[in-house]
Amino acid sequence: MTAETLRRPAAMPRLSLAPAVAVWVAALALSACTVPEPYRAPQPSTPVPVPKQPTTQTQPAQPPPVVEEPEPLPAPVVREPTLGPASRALVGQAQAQLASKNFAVAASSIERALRIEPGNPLLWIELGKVRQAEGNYVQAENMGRKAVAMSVNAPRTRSAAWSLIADSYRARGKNAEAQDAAARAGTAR
Amino acid sequence: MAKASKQSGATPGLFRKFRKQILIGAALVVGVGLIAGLAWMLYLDRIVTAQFEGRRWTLPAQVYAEPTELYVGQNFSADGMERELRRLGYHRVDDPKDPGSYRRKGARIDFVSRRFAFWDGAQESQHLTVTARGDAIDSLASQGADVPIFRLDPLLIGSIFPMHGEDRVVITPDQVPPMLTAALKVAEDRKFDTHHGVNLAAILRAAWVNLRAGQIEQGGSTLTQQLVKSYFLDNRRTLGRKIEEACMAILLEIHFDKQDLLNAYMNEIYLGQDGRRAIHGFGLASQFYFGKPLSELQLHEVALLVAVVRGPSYYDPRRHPERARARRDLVLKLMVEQQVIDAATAQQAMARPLGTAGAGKAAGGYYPAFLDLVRRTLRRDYREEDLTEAGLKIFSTLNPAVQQRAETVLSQELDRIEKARKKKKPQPLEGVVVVTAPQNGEVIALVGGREASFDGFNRALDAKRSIGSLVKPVIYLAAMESGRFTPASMVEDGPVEVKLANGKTWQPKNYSREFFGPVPLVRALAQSLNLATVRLGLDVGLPAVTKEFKTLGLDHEPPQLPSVLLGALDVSPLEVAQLYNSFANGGFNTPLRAVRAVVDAEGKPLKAFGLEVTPVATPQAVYQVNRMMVQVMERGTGASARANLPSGLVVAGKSGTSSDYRDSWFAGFSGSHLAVVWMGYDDNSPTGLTGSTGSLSVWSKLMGSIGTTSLNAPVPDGMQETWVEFYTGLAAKPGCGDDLVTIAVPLGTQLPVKPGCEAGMGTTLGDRARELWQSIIQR
Repeated sequence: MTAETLRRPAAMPRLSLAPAVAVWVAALALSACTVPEPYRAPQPSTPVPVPKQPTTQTQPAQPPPVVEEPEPLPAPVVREPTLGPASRALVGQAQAQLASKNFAVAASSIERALRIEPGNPLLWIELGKVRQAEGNYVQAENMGRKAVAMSVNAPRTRSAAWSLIADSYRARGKNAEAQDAAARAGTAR
Repeated sequence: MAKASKQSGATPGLFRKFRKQILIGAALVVGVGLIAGLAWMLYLDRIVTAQFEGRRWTLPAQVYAEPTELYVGQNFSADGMERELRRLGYHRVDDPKDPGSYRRKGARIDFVSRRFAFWDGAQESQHLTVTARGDAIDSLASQGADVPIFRLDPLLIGSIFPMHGEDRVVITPDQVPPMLTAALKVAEDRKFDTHHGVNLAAILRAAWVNLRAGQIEQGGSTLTQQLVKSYFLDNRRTLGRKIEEACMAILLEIHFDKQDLLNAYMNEIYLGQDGRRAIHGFGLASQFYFGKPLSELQLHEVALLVAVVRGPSYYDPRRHPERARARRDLVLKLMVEQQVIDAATAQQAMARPLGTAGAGKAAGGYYPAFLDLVRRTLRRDYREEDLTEAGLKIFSTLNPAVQQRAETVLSQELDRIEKARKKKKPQPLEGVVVVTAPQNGEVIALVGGREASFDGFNRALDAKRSIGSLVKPVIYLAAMESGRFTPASMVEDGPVEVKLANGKTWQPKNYSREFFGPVPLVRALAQSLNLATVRLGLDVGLPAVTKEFKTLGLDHEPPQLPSVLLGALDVSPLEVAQLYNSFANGGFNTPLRAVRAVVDAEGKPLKAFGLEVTPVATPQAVYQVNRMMVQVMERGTGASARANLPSGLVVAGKSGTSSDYRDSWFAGFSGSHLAVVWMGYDDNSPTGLTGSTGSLSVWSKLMGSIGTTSLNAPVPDGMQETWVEFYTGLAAKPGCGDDLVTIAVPLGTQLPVKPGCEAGMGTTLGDRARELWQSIIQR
């Protein structure tokens, strides 16, 4: 997932949300410090890694600060995945192969791309579409679930994954499940 | 004397007396002899024609490694790229025009690829230009146009040959370099085009030359005779055999034309030995010795193959390079004498090194354990004869670079451990390595023992051994899935007694024989505490735990016995890999595969082994356990691996030691590789090694040298990462609290906070706010 678009939520909530926002900013100000950094491996300079804050290491013990500095919102950054050039070419190839009902070959092309970008949910969705087209609905659903698990903070991708799951249920006549999945596809959009 | 003369005097008299009878008798003998001879010739003729015409070479299935993909950003320096091409038998030239050749100028490599029929379509030969910047491919183009992705022709790694061990790659006359035919005739049978099967003059001349030289320098057998010998006869050297051979050669020449015979010879002749595998024919010999197709051989290589014909063992270029070289140069000299090539060309060829690819490393590499897995996979769908005779092409998942690395690291570490021992064991310490790509379940390396090229007991598949603490992550997963525990939950590490069904009492012990009191789960797993784990397992319930093994991909559910909680469970290394693959793949099971696809002799796809995934555990529960397994590597039983791993590489793993140190295990994964290592003795005697002191060094040295990527799965929905103290499990934060570790817990989890750290710690208000925020951005 080298090529990712990085974008913040487009607009801040508007005035109508003002009271909620106020509570929420205050609350976040209080809680901001409890949200740890994303996990990082300790530096290898110490053989037994004991994570310590380098800034506090040299300072004398301090009483906990009474007023916490307000920090930026723990904004879950929206990160919609994109395909690298190699994967894009392979997916294009697969779509042509799929159009000529060459399912095994189309799947093989997507699998090539997945070896390059195994963590890209878009590719799992593409593979699921191939399975769906050849009538392997269970695998279509499973590919969709794999994509859902991978598309954290990527609502558009997640929506596409749920749509695939909805399709696979519909094809099996599981209408209630299909509706539920379609609803998730809708809300995730 | 007198008696003799008397007798001789008497003979004419007798002869005269019985002349008629004697003549009739003689005529009868001659007649019967003639008839018998004729019958024998007819019999031979039947054998020769029936077998020669009827015989198709059995074509062992050919197995290919995974092809290397080239694309911008792929991890290849210019040196690495050149190494890759050389591994595939590409040779360096000034101006690459022919398939299999390349030119390098600094960071730019131009090459002409070989045409290759992949199972999903053929790729034509192309002129390509690759430039590298640093450690990555910077551009890839063909005649000025960018190429997004290109697949190199894959390495032929072996074949599935029948029990008698004959392996070959059959060639057609158009694949034979003309120089090979010429060199072969010059060295072995100059009158091949004109004789009728035998060459009396050559036999006499060879006898004379060899007599003078005192050793065998020339053979008198024609190519046809050699063919007959290889085809129909055994190795006994008797006069009778020689006559039979000559007769059959003459008969063959009567029935078949020279081109057929030459082609048969080139496919039949024995040219080397590789363990149990006999190398037959020039097609396979070219792959075996040089790692490239016969049609690409250069003069010095052709001459070497012809040199080997005379004695594949005596002139083995790997074991006796000087002998092989002398004979190669002799072949070149003979070619000059017979005006096949000019002296200058011969001189150039003589100046070249032998050029053989290293045995067991590049093309000659032979991976019996992996091929065994391939064969067993295919035995489900094909008969043995289909595999050994029908000429199938099998596209496997083996990554030769990782395989080679795994073999090397394993044997080095086993040597090191054995050398450090005071008391030597009479038997060698053995080991196994299994490496997979977790996201697609492909087995990319498989080493079945320290002698990787030894074709015998395949420990990776067949050694069912006690896995000790490797079971623990499964128990912790069952605990997380129950929803009653988090990695910060406290459990008592104290004496445990379990009444068993047979009336006995089971009293497990910690490895250190100590009790650690109340400990958080993250520490219990990281430090592999037995008693805490047994309590946890009993609390979760044995049925839930044993069921979890089956769910994760073990093919049978273990018995519901308390001892299973400490790994009294016999599992093969490959099965362990299947089990751990579900963790590495975020809770999705993917059946491990060694084969991608099979095509028949004509290239028609027969079967594809497509990628399949099945959700088997919630991503949330798996994420929590994986985070705990990261702590195994940071401050638990896997910590000593750090020295061998690139800085900042995030990996997760677990050690395993069976009772009395009989088995040393380590299983773990990064973002792109899963590796399982086992060490032990074949007779199950104690090794004195724990998982950490034995297998871990192999695991870490391997993972540290194959360019693996960090574990970087996103935090699943409804989960958050938080700090707790490793020893108390209390929530804390940097600057407040000791020995902090990161764990994952469900969003909104209220952890007891370390006294004095309360300020700003996860309040209900804060969590509500975060949930609110989540719901807003999801809308």
